[in-house]
Amino acid sequence: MSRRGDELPVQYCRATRVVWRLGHGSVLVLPVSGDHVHALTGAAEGLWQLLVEPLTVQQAASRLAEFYDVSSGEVLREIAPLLDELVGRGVLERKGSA
Amino acid sequence: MTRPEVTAHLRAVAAHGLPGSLALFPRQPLDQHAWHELLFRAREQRITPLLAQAVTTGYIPATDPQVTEVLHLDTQALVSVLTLEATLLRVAESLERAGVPFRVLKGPAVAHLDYPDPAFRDFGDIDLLIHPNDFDRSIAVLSGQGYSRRFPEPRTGFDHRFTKSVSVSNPIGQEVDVHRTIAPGAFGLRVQVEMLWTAPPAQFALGGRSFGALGSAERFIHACYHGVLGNAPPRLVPQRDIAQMLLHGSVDPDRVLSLAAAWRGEPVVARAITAAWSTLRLTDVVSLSAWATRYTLGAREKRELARATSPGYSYAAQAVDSVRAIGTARERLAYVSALAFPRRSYLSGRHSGFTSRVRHAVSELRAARALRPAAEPATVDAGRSAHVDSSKGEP
Repeated sequence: MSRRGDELPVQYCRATRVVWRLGHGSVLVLPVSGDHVHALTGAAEGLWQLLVEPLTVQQAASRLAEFYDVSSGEVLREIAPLLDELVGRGVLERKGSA
Repeated sequence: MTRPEVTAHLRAVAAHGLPGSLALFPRQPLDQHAWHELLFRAREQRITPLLAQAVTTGYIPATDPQVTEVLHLDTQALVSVLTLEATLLRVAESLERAGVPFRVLKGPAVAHLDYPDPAFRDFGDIDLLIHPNDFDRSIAVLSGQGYSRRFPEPRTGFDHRFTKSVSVSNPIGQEVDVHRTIAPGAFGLRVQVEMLWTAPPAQFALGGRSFGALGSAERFIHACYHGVLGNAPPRLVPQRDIAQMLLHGSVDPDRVLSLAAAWRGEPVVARAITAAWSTLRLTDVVSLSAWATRYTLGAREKRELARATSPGYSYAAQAVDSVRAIGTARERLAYVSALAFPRRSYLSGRHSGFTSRVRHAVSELRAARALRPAAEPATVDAGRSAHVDSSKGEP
């Protein structure tokens, strides 16, 4: 039985059942059970490169903010819905409590 | 026929990134006609990724629209490869559920194991090695997944005893080649298949799981067989694979020579290496390239290689050669019987009478015998568009 304080924070990482290649200015990702190849560019490409290891949305935002030299809050507002969209498309996976 | 300058550029593209190549790129952007010919041939030869690399790194000067075109073409190739890899994962799961072990051959294995980035290696189908004991079951598993055979089995039991490979395709046209052995005809029948299974597999990761492939020496020999015997004229991509493995890989030359000797494949391995070195204009010398240059073919080897690499080497002539490579009289009888008296479905579109088939085989063999053995390594015309592919799923 887990206590609320023991719950793991939600983390995001690359989905395991995907195949991918570095394209020209994008990362091409195909979920094995999907029909569409997703071309990740911009922030989505940055997230893909970053999420080789599981990170919380705050950790991801902080690292991208450092890389792009912008505020963490600004990045957070942009990537939070993007992460969920990429999870929905089978490109990323969510770990921990939702 | 491809213009000579485009053929030269294609070879330079195929050699891009290899150390010591003298192959030259153009000095200025090609005119549109030559450029489109280069694009078309590069796609045909499955070297679009190398062309894209050569253009984006400035080795091939190109106009902005040309850069856009090649990147678009390469992206198409990448998408095609990804859909094949997704298919590989689904096929692997089906085979594993049925308890059928396999090794991944050629494209996906070579891309992930022998190139610094798998995006540099294009491929057009999936090739799997299946043990003879599991061969028929593997075809049944794939049939259950909606795959259908390109050619029917001549007679029950022929595939797992004699065939090189069986090609199956799914409703969207993706092809899976199920291999019993790694070379067509007599050369394939001489390969001791058990040795492919007892050697420790190389492993690569894909889609969250690990895949087994042939070890580096066996993978290299397979590339040699494919390069020399797979297509006439030889294609550029297996030649690049051969050079890639020898110049950037960790192929054990002693093991290669030991396996090639055991399978009497030395003439093919030597020819494959010298042809790759010649086509790609390589100057670096490694132990196997030095061995290949020194290797002298005997008269019988010359004749056999000349037949097997002739564009006119038909399935019938291949079958006649194969009979000689089969070990026992009983096996030879089974092989000949299967081809002389096959199932009715096998005959559709082929020579329908026994006499007709024998006559055809004899005339093919005579024609093949009349060919003079090549004194030099096979001339590689990278620009010819008509390829004879003797590697697809028939005896």
